[in-house]
Parts: sequence; structure tokens; C-alpha cells
Amino acid sequence: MSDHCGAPGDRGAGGVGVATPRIALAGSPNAGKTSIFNALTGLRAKTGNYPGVTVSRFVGTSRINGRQYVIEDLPGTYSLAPISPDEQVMVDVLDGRLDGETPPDAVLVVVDATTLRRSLRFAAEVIGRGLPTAVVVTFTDELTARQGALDVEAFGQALGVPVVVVIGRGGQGADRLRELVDDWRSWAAPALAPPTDRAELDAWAESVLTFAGYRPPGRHRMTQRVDAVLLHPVAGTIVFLAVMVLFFQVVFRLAAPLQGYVESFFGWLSALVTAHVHNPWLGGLLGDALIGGVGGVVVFVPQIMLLFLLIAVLEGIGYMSRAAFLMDRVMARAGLEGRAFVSLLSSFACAIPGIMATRTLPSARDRLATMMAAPLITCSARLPVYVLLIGLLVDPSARVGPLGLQGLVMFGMYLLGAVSAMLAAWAFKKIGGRKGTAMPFYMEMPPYRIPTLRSVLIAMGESARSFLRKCSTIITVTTVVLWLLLNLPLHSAADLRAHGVDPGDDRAVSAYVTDHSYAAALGRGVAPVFAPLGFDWRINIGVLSAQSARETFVATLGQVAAAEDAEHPAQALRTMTYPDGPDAGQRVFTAPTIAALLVYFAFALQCMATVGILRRETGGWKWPLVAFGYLTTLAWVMAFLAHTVTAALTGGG
Amino acid sequence: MIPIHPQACPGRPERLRWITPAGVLAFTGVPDSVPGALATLLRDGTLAAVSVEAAAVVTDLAAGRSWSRDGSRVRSALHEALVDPDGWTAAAPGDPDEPLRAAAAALIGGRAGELALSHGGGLELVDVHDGVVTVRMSGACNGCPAAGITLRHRLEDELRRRCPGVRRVVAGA
Repeated sequence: MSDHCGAPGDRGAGGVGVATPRIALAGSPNAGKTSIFNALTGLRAKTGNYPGVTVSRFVGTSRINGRQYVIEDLPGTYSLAPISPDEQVMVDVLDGRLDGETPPDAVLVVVDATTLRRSLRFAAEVIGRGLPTAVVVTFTDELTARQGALDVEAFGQALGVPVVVVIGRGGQGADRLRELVDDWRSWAAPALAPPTDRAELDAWAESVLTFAGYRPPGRHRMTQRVDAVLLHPVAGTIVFLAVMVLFFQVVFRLAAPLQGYVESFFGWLSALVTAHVHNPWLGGLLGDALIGGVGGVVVFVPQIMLLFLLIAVLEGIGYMSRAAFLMDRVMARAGLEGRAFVSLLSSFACAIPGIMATRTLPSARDRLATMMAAPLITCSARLPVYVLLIGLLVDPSARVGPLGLQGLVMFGMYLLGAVSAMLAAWAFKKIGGRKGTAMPFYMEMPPYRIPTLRSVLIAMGESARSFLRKCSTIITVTTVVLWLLLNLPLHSAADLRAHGVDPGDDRAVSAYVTDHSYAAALGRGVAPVFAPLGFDWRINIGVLSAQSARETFVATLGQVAAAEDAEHPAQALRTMTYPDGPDAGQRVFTAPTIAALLVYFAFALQCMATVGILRRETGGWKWPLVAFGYLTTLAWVMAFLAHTVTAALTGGG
Repeated sequence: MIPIHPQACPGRPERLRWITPAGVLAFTGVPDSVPGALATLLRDGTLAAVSVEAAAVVTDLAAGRSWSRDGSRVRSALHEALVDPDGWTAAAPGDPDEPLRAAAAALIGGRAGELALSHGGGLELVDVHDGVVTVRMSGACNGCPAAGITLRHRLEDELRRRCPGVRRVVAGA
């Protein structure tokens, strides 16, 4: 009836001339903003059925009818009264207070039709800011499926702004949305902004919803039944642990054959190099450093992709929110709130987004405690190291009941990381001093949804891409440097003969060169530090090189093994012995040494990128140094304990 | 607090229609007197006129006033006035079917009419008497077996939401 009254005009468009119009996307967490963003820009931002996926801002561009638009995805928030740094980002953007930026030209408020009552208050706040605003209603399909109702046209009439329905998963309505965005200059504006007074706002929302014939959805029956079990303190915890155990079983069992294919590919490459490259230096660089080293890391692509596939599925279904809810009770004991868990959960992929996610924490002290704990969570960079070491430690056919022992050990490593992180957070919270007031924390329990294939594939492809990027850059560089260190200085034939090595015997020469290289000197130099953990100089080099990126450890060992026996690197590692010293002739990779290595990697902060992000987020060198210091010390002490205990249990050293 | 929200009126920037639950006030038309808060706004020259519909209160701003400046005062005054229905007195009783006629005309001129058009038909208001709304269907709608249901569901439901006085919608010749 009156959709177009209220004098549409150029309100708020000041300063827009030739510049590309900026359209901001706002909405409460999990309303589907990121799906709308992707629909508009075609950009593949990661989506998840999990509140808090967008931490900072995503910016993309959209071309509609030949015109360019900048689309900005703002962090999800329930209110414009900010209580945490990321909510502050959102408000600052809308008010144009963010460094040297003008406010966006128009705002799209994304509201979830299934939780419209709450979303509406937020929409009212945004409309009240006076920028041209349109409302995007999502999940109307689910609303209908759950016996709810909404007359979208009446809804728009009551709000006095354009309203469009977009169903994220099927992309229905995306074309209408694009037309609407293109038409932003003529969006209707309400004659009178929604009230700001709390009681009047409630009355307004009530009236709008009644006018629009809104009937809230019935409780999702399946969700309700499933949640009765999954959110139960005892049953839920059991299910959670069971899910995690299965998770690692799958990672191990399914990935192994796939890993085999990648390995045979590199075996074929290696044979090719041996057959066609006759220059010993080039052959060494290609065969040992690149194929043996970097290739040794790349073979873990299946595990990484599988890990992220499973995480994406659990997230898409909505299970992660339940896990967060369960863990919130545990975290509360440690004095941390649910938001900290969200951040720690992100750290399973990588500590960097985890540390960035601490921006959602309102309390500075909680934030710091969480940042100090995040590096302890088992990130995906540790995965290749764990798989390699567990493969050396545990026979793949070993079983505990129906479950593979390798998967269980892996689960144990993840559990160790999680528990240590909680303890660390608790300790840092204690050190921080007096008890602060608890901040309110909303965590939406989204209904269970079947994740879209697209969002799962994006998460998987993204993880594989960033893993391969890391392999092709930092890991390759470190590996090549290490290869040089392992092969220099040069030895003349006379020199070799003087030390009783036959220059014609390639294997003997290679062993001699490696054993007298700069790297060996370096590894032996730090031996006093690591000897109590049972590490020999080669492991020392691996541990030191892992300081650039944890996966480099695998590359280094691969290189050393390839130098010894290029055909059977895995066998070479298993049977590697001490060349000299008091343990000469003994095997290097004994159970206590592997256990110590596993534990060392679980605790040590061997990731310069994490140190960098800690510096950026805390604004100084103090906390990154504290984190580095305490984690490295802890790693050594715990590894020593692991070595001692395992040695006592297995009766050997 | 009575749930209300304002809607603009096409072509009448000075006018806001405040949608209220149906039947909050027992009469329709221009009131003889309104409760204190609202009366003050009429007196001090903020509002030019107030009238009551079945499920709305219509307020007209006086010349020189604007909704962005004076709107929240009007809103608060209206909230205050609506919790005191006895403070409102009706002027001389007018045509009791008038609000229903207005609402029916608006719907037929708007969404219900558009719906009929989109199905290749037309809808026309014939008469409103004693709560019975008579409409004429033309084009594809005339004689269409789905027309009755369309009418009932669309028009009657929407009218009932706006005017509790509606008894039924019938198709006339």
C-alpha cells in the first residue's frame, strides 16, 4: 500500500560522487550474512553454522548491471551497544568512525526469519542510524517448514524500508537482491525512525510482527529431541568424546590409502630424478630436499583435507555450537566464558584466527589468558608431525577393541592440547588478579541443518590451498637452506680418503658429508640441551627447523632419511641409529624419544606467525615473549617427563 | 504498553497512521476529546489533527513540523493516551461502516487487487454495509472456482486484521 511513501531520496549519500558505492552487511551472528555476501560477490568467504565465524571485516566487490559495488561483511552482533572489540568494529563502521573511512552508503540488515523477534530489535537500531537501509530476510524456508509464518510484504510495509527474501542455500531471491542493491539510491526510508526507548521499542517490534502476521516457528522437533541428549551434561559429554574419537579414527583410516597414492606419486618422481638427473648437486636438491623433504610434507594433504572436511561438516550441521555450549560449563570452572571457547575452537585449525577471534572477548584479562592458551590447542600444522611420529611409534594394525590405536593416540594428543590450554588459561587468569564481573554471553543454538556441499567444499579447498601455499613457500625455503647446511662444507676426494671413506661409495660419502656438515655442527652444538630428551643431532636440527613452521620437521627428517636411503625413507627413519657418542649404534627413534618429541611438539610455540600475531594483537613484545618463554620451557619439562615415564614403562632408554 | 508502529501514507508526508491492535478504542472517527498528553500536542501546535480508525490512530502534523524532530514526542504521547481509553470521547456517531470501507478500498487498491491482476482478473469494491463487504470480480476471476478461496483467504483475513468489524466478504454481481 504505502511501500513508496516517505520521500525516497539521497539521504546519507553525501560524499558519493564517482566513488563506488559501499554497501555494508549487518546482522546477528548466524543469520546468514556470509551466505548473502557470497551470493552478492561470488567471493568464497568461509561460512559455517556457527556464531562468530566472521571476526573482522570481509570486503568484496559486486558487479550489477555493469555497475560496481563494494560489499562489506561486518561481524555479527546482537546489538549496537557494543561490549566486545568486534562489535565495536561494526558500530564504528556504521558511524564512520573507523580510521579515515566514511560510513557505508547503504546497509543491508540480514535477519533470520526463525528468530525474527530478536533480530528485529537489531534491525530497528540500524534503521535508526539513518543510513539507507534494506532488510534481507533469510531462512523463510525453514520458518515455513517449522509451521511459522511471515507476510513479507506486510513486514516491509510496517518497517517502511525495502524487504527482500533470500534463501541462502538455494540462492533463491539472489537476483532480486542484486536488483535491490543496484537501486539503493531510491530505497524507501521510514518517515519516523523506530524508537530507541526500550519499552517503546518492544511495543514497536510487537506491533510490526503482528501486522506482518508473524508466527514464530515451532521448536524444531528434531533439534529439540537431539539437543535433549547432546546438551545433557553427562550424555552430551560422552557423545562429544565419542564424536571426537571417531573423528580421529576417520582421519587415520580414510587418509592412509589416499596418502599412499600421493606417496607413490613422489616415489615415481624420485625414480625419474634418479634416472635422468646426473649432476649430483641438482639431483640432491631435487631428490633429497624437494621430493624427500617438501614432498614428505605434501603427502599429508589428504589428512589436512579430511580434517577440515570433518570440521566443516560438524560446523555446518550445527554440532560445534553444542560442543561450545557443553564446554562453556567446563570453561566457566577455569574462569573463562563461552566466547573464549569459540576462539580456542578456531585454534584447532590454526592459532592465528583463534588469537584474532579473541577480539570478541569483552574483558581484556580474559582476552590475554585466551591468547596465551590458544597456541596449545592442536593446530593443523601439528597434524603431519603427529601422523609421522605416531606412525613410527604405533603399529598401524594395533587395535583397542574396534578402534585403531593410532587414532586413539592422536585423539589423546588433541585432548592433551585442549586440557593444557584450559589449564594455561586458568593459570593466566589467576595471575591476572582479582575476579572480574562475568559478561553476558549469548550463544545461539542453531537448528540442525544439512550443510551445503558448496560450503563444505570451500572449507576443504581453502585448507588444502593454504597448506600447499605454506609448503611451497616457507617450508621450501627452510628446507633448501637446510639442505645446503647439510651438504656443506665441500670435501675433496683426498679429504674423504684421509678419513677412510671411499669416494666411489655414494652412500658412504653422503653419510660422511652429512655427519660433518654445518647442520651437524649446529645440531651437536645444542645437543646438551636436548640430550636429556633422547634427541640426536638430526632430531635437534629438525626441531630447530620446525621453528619456522612445524611441518618443516617432517621435511627435515624426510631429507635426512632420503639421504640415507632414498628408496625407503620410512624404513630409514625407523632404523636410523646414532653414528657416534655414547649411544653409537643404538636406534634413534625409540619409544621414549618419540613420546618426548610428541609432547615437545604439543607444547612448544614453534610458529613465528603466531608470535607475530600475538605482538600485533597485544601491541608489544612483552606477551609474545612471555608466551614463547613459558611454552618452550613447558615443552622441555613435559618432554623430559614423557621420556622418563615412557622409558620406565618400556624398560629402555 | 500498547503495541504500535507508524506507517507513512502515500502522498501525505504530514500524516502517520499508527497501527494499533484492533479495538483498542471503542469508536472510530475524529474524537471529541483525547487524553492529556495528546491534547497538549494538539494545543501547542505540534499536531493538527487526530482521528481514530478501527485498528489505527491517524495523526497529522501541523505545518512547519517534521516527523524526524517531533515524531518521538508524538509517539510517547500516543503511548500514554492509549493506555487510557476512557480519556477518549467520540464525536457524533458517524457511519459505523466507514473504517471498514476505507480499509477494504485500500486493500483492493493495493495488494489484494494486485494479486487478482496477477491472475488475470480484477477486483472492485461494490458496497460495505453492516460489516458485510461486497466485491465484484471480473476478468479471469469471474467464475473461477478458486476465486472464492482467494477472496476469503486474502481479503477477509487481511481485513479482519485491520477491522474487527468485518463480518464477511461476499461476491456481488
